[in-house]
Amino acid sequence: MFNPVIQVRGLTKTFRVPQKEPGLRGALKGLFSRKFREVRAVQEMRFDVTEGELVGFLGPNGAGKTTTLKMLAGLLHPSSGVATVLGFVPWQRERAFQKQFTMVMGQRSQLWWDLPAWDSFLLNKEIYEIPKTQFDETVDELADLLEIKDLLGIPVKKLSLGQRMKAELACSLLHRPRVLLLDEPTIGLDVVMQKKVRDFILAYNKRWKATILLTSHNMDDVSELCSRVILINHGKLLFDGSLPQLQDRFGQGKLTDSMRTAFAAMEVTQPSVF
Amino acid sequence: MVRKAADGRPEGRGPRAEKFDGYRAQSLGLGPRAWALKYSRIWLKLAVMSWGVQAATPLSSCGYLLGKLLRIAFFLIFLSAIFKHTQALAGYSLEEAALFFLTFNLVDILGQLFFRGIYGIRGMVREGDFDYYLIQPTNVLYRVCFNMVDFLDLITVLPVLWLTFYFFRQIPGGLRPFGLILYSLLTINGLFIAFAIHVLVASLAVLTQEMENTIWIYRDLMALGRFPADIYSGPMRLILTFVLPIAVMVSFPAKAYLGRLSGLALVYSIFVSIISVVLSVSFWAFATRKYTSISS
Amino acid sequence: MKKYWCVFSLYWQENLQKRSSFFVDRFRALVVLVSFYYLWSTLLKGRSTFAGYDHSQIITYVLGMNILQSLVFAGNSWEMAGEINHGRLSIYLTKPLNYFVYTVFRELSEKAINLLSAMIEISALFWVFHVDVRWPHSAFSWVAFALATVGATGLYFLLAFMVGCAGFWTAESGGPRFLIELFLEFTAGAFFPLDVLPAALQHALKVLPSPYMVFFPLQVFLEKLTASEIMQGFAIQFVWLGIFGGLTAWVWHRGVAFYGAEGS
Repeated sequence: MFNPVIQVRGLTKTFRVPQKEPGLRGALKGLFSRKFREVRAVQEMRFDVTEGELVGFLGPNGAGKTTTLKMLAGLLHPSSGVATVLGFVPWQRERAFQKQFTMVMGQRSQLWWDLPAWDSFLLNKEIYEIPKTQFDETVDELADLLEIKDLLGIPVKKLSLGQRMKAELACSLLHRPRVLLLDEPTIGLDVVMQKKVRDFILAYNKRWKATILLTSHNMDDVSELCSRVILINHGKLLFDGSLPQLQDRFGQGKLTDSMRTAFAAMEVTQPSVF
Repeated sequence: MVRKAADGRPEGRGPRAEKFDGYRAQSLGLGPRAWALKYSRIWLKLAVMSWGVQAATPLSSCGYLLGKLLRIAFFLIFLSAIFKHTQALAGYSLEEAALFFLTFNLVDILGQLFFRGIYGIRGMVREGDFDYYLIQPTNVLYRVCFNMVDFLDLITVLPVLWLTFYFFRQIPGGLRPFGLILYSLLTINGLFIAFAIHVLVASLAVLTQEMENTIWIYRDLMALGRFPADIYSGPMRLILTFVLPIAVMVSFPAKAYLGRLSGLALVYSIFVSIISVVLSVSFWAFATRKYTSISS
Repeated sequence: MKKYWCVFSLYWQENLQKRSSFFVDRFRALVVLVSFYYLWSTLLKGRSTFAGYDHSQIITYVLGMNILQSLVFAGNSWEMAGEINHGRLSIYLTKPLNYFVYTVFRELSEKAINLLSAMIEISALFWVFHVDVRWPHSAFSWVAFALATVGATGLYFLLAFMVGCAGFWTAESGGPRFLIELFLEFTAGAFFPLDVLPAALQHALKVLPSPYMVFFPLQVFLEKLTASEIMQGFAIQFVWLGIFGGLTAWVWHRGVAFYGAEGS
């Protein structure tokens, strides 16, 4: 399959952020007039992802990872540039596209807090128009892989963070999406649970040839899962290639060190983006 | 349904679709019947889930339910107390004034029953639930409106209906079938305006991400309709009829029942509801297009 | 003491920062004002008094209702239940800070903003509508009104704090709070002067704490009470302050002990 599943060309996103002056007077002034600052969250991003690839998106906080992911999910319109996912322009939000991808946001949840995860599953069954047999099959498989069979009947608020994340993953995958956009899927989890989530992502990728783009702060996520990494900082693409290539270019040894070198190089060549 | 060519490709797609035909193959639309079925299933599921949430907090739910009933009871006590000191309020008897008040409640409660989800729009945007709705293959506005179906309002609407009929009978002349038809028609008409206002509020919340209390402005303006709109004089009455059609929503049904509404006003009220629904839904489309997610 | 002023200043800023919700709140108060202005004007059309109120007295009541509501009922000590439920209370308990004093200042900040804003609105109304307000004739009435208002603010604050403590035992304080607020609004006279009601009902209300939050201070302001009635009113208000104060302290200490034991 040579057609890239995800195609990104010149993708750029600029935000206007209100500024607040400190103190009581500042608050009073802000009541009537606000100053804005332009933040270029993503600049001229360009990459392709082919079917079945598992790509790690790396960069410090505020580098533009989540913004890029949100544009690919159709949550944000870019300021300029184009992107296609599965041949669709994401921000047109076509139903046919929405039924084929999923986005998981590690710090957010689509599960109903007070109810068992099972209820949220059934809701997604209706939303994604999943046929009954396929739904039952998928739930069985996912519950097996994630070891959450016994947890589906317990109100989500009573689950641990890790259990919740696993239920969240299952809920997002019920419609068997072909593209997964995972934003910090292991955030806040303990080491054991991180490992389990990683194993699951890998298994899902292998099993359904799903294309997966994930962002993470966690080096282990990347080194274990991703054959390819994309480094970004200040909204700009800094490196796109395999892990060995990354280490070749930015120093041998530990991955963390090469990353640090990479970002340092970025700071020198690009002293100020704003 | 999109007709498919022999190899499973949908026909009539542009060159881009051609290139990605493998992915496009799944893009089948739903027929009107399947569509209606899908959306009613979603409503039912959301309603059952909302019930589950409310049943999980029985103490809180009881508090809300009692509070709502108490509010109606207190107000009726207030009305009857006023009529201890006077014969008429803006030319209406106690029974008639009570009918205005109950109509206000009916539209208000039904509006809450059907569009309750809008009250949580700010939370949905802030907590990111709204992002999930946007990436799911359902109409986002539908999802936002029905995300919370408040069964407590289903319970409060029953005594209100009962009281409304009670006062229908109390008004000299007894129950009038024709008046009743007009009354129901205009109440439904009022609900459409309520829907438009809810959509407007939701759009503002999505656009600005801070209009936390806008829905409460609506609730308070609505509360102006607790009394017959005739008490408002001059510019205020014009505003309530033409600018913020509160009078059209909650006063017109009762006036029509009492035979005090002109044919022109009837036509006008239907015109208002159509225009406001069309405008607010287009504004919603604009707002969702402009929406930029909170964590940049 | 300085740190508590800091709390005051911070909440003031936060309130102004969330400008839309601030304006919205003020707008809401204004709508209620308008609605009652027209109701009473209609009822007084073609007659000099209604239920013992002449035009300037009833307008004064409605305006006073608005000011007292933004002063007495303002604040977010109800939010305390949420803070407890979400475990945020620990943040305060572990700091060298008296949570009660902290809440007092947080509330004062909110009330100050609301009061200021209510004053501005009402001045605007004066200017636009030339409303005819009945001011007290004697200095004594002013002093008594001020005292009654302080008492009213204290009553509501203690009640809200006490009910907020329910958060220690249940996550379901939303509904009961709604019920209590509604009950208060009507029985406090924050909706209409209570002497419109039948005499029997008025007598029953007299022993409740709520009329001493809005109705009583305004009666003092309108000089509708005799000296002995004022004394009686203060006595009942004082007794309720004592009861609420005692209960609040008791519930709070029980609650904190329970909170600690739960280890949340």
